[in-house]
Amino acid sequence: MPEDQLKEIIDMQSEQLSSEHPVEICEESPEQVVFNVLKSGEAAIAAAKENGNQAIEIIKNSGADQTELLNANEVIEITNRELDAAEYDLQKQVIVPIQNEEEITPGKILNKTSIARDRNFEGSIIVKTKSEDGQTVGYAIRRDSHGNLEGNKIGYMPNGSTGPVYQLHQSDFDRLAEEGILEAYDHALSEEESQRAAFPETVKDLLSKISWRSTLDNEEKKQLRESFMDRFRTGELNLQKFLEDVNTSPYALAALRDILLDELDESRGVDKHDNKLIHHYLAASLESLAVQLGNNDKSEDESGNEFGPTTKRRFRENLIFLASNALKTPYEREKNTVEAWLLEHLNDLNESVKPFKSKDGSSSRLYEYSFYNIIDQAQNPELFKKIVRMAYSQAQISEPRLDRSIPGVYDFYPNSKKNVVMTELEDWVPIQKMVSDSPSAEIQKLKPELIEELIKSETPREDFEKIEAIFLKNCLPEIGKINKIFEVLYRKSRLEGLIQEHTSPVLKKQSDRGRRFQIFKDLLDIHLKSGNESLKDYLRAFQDGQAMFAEVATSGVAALSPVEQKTLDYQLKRLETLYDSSWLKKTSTNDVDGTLTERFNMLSRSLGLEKGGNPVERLQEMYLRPIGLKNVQQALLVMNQALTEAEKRGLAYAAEFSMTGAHLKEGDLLKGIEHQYLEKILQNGSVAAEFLGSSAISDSTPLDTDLAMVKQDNIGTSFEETINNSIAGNYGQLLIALKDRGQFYKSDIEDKASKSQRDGKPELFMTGIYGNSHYGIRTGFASTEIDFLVARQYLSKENLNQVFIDIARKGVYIPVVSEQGELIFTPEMYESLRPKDYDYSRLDTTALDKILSDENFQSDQLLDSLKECFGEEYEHAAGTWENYSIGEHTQKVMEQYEKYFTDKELPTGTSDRFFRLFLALHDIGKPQAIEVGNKEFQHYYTEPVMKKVFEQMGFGSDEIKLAQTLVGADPVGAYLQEGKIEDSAQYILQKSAESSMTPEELLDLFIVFYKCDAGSYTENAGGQASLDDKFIFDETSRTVEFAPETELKINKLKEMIKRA
Amino acid sequence: MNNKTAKKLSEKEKIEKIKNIYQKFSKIVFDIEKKRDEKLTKIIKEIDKRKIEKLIKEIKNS
Repeated sequence: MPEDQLKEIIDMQSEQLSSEHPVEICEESPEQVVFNVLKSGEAAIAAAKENGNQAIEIIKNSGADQTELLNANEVIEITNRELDAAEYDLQKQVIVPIQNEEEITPGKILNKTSIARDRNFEGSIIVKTKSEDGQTVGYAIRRDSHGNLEGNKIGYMPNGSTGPVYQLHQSDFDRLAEEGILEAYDHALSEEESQRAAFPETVKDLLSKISWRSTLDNEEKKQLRESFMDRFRTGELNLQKFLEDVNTSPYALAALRDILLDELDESRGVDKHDNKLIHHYLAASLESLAVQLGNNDKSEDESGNEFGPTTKRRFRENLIFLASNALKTPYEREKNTVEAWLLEHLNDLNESVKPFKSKDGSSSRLYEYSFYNIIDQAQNPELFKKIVRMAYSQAQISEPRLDRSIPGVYDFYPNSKKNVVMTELEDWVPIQKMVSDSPSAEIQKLKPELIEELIKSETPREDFEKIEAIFLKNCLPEIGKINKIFEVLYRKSRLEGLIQEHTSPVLKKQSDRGRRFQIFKDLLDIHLKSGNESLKDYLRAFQDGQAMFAEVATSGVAALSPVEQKTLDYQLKRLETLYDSSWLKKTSTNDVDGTLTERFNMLSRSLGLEKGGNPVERLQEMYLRPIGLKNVQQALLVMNQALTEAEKRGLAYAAEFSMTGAHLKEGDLLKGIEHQYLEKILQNGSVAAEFLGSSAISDSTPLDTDLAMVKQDNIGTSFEETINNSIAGNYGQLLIALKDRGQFYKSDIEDKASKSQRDGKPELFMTGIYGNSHYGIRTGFASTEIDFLVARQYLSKENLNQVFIDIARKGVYIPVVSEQGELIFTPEMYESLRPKDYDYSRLDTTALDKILSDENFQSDQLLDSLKECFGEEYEHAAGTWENYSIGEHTQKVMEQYEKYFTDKELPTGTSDRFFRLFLALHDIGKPQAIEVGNKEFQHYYTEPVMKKVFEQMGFGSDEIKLAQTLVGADPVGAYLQEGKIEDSAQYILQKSAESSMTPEELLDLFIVFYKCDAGSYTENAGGQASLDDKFIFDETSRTVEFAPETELKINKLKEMIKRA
Repeated sequence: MNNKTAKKLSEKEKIEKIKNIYQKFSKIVFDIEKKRDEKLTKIIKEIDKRKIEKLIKEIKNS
């Protein structure tokens, strides 16, 4: 029978209660007993609830109908609530006996009396007296609505708790008057009233008076804070209620923080009991506080302005502060809730502070004090881990004060805590060091953000290695990197945070996944149509790999020659990275240790290919189909087409403008930029800051690039007037003009357009922040969309020249007009800035070949022969103070090589023949660079010549690429001069990844080149003394060493490259 | 610390007090459970009664 079963259980329970959950007798300390009691209490409650659950099971199985079951459940529910209340009461009660302080809160002592307040006697002032035998009696006195005295007599127990309470009668008051009690009451009353007069009446008022914006002096603020706490102690002010009211003012939290920071400081003799209560109230109100803060974020201040970033940041900082104090609640259960809350919100709270980081990158984020509190209090291992890592990382990055505080952790906390902090840091510090030591300049720039992401990761080491590989090994084109950075920096909550009222209507409607895909498609389209060089190279390599992969798919790796296998290795690396960055990714293929066959099979399997399937085809389908392209060939075609069309359009405008001047009509778009960003915009398009784009206009609308539309009422009588009427006229020295050619899809707020209506066009929409002519293009636009540029009159001549060169370097003509609309950059000027077209037929390749292979090689012979073609160039001044001509300098460089290096073994695949010709041509583009006004562009003019001559001399593609790499940048010289070690390391590592050379070999070559080139500006090379102190020459042993100081620097670079 | 002249409970008194509180708590929990079980027993008895009546009805009808 069920009834018997139930009885049995009940009997068991009674036994359990007394036997299984006894209080362990522990005479060690009251604190220990409290701990044991709370644990036992928790267990007892859990057991009681479990008993209830079992009973319900029995009732269910005994064939109860719906009503009976409902009744039974109700019983359980009521019981559980009672059990919870019992546990809560237990927690509350056991804390009290271990508090040492006296229950009487002393106020102003009058004779033998003291004044107090007690929330049980609301509205009364309690005058406490002590009789000679030490007994304390209190008189709670108040006045009724008619002003008559009334009150209670309170007997106090020796431990200070309230004993018997009696009603006071009229006769009692006479006696009280005689004893001076009433006088004490009146005195206290008038004192309170005068205090009250000074005390602001509303919470909002009080808080704004204490807040950092207040004009009160510190002493006045202090008084207000004290009276606040007095009111709190006496129960006149209910803190919980008060916290709920806090949201009435955005500055309230800051003020509350100030109060608490002062009051919670126990070293100032603050009442411990008060603190416990405050902590408890904070814990209890945390959730509602957070919700109110969430609302505050969207609201406005008193003057109706939207809250600025600083105020929003303060909200979060203060909330963390309050939460960290709430952790000190005396109640275990509340503490767990606060810990869970912190764990959930810590990232967001910290993260949302980020976009508002100050320009120099130093943002004080979580307060040091909050870190201390959380580290001190956290019990949840996850929370503890996270906060220790965060604290340490921020100490390294943005909060130098924390640098002290983390080592400080060891002094500050008890040994047990020190050890756990230490254990966490042992795990974390090496990972952070990995980031700090990364040779990638790009990673160094993103360090703070990356570290924050890694803190959250379960596998930080692996994650970081993957990201680093993308930056260093150059296995993805730039768009891949940009997208990756975006993914790393803008996780779900942060991207969500960017979506605002003024965001693209299309993005607004999409899911997180949809948005990311949309952005990727946009970026790919922009890079493609901007003719991005890195994408072009990548697509071409992809195309080259196609045949090879087809062969491997059918005949296996063994069918390839060793050289081809080396290429396959490199190609596989690219595809693996591409796959790893795809949405399909389930397993990482980045296991470079496997054999080529294993890796090929792994990749094919991951891509879900049948045997014989070609991974290249599958990947291009994945990446290109979404933007409507079938394959790489088509992508390259689209790129080419965009470039050709843009140039054609530019030339047509030039012809038109040279006659009529430039003009704008309604619907055209203008964007102001700083001229130095043009080069990047031409390569990557003009994109929003989130995609590492840059522009002058402030970032009021994330995820789009903003522009000004020409409206009918902006159009003035002249071009100049129209420009000045546009809001774009206020930004930057250069204006980008996009004519309205119907090339954009115009969305409105609702955006009900179907896919076909959008027609794959970039989305243009009104953002309206700066008026109704303020528009945005989602993600950004391709540089081939630019119709012409307007140079503002305050753009200096030098900078204007730079703009012209940027356009020439890009290789697509864009007209530039003055503010008056006059064409100031003609197609002819453009042509003159393009690399010169030499008459290479004048090169006598047979003679050159003979000279290069001659056992008695003479550098002047080589130069003489080259002068047939580049005579003018070699005559040109080199542009240094030593006043050499290019020819003179080149010969000195070549002689240094002959003197010190011809007997040395050069890294694989590099011959004297190669190096001699390379050195002979290494400055050949310099004259044109000097002519156009910037020596830094010499690489741009040298590279095509280098390529052409090496081709004619029959060098292989690897050697041609190496020559271009060597002349493309000067990592050794730049590092020695400017000290940017990461930039140099990254260049070498990337270029090595693109070739068959190890980074060490490549660096060795750069060093040889530097020793010849810079070493030629020495007396040793027969010139004037200049860079002599950098080298130690020894002609007898034919060696050039770096001077010790330089050697030290170079070793640093070597080490960094080796580590990578 | 502040200068209040605290009337301290001795360690032993504190432990005694805490133990008393726990005893009271145990009693409260026991009472709550007892109350619950009484109510549940009543429900089970009603279920049994209902089932028996139903059985008798069936026997009479057969």
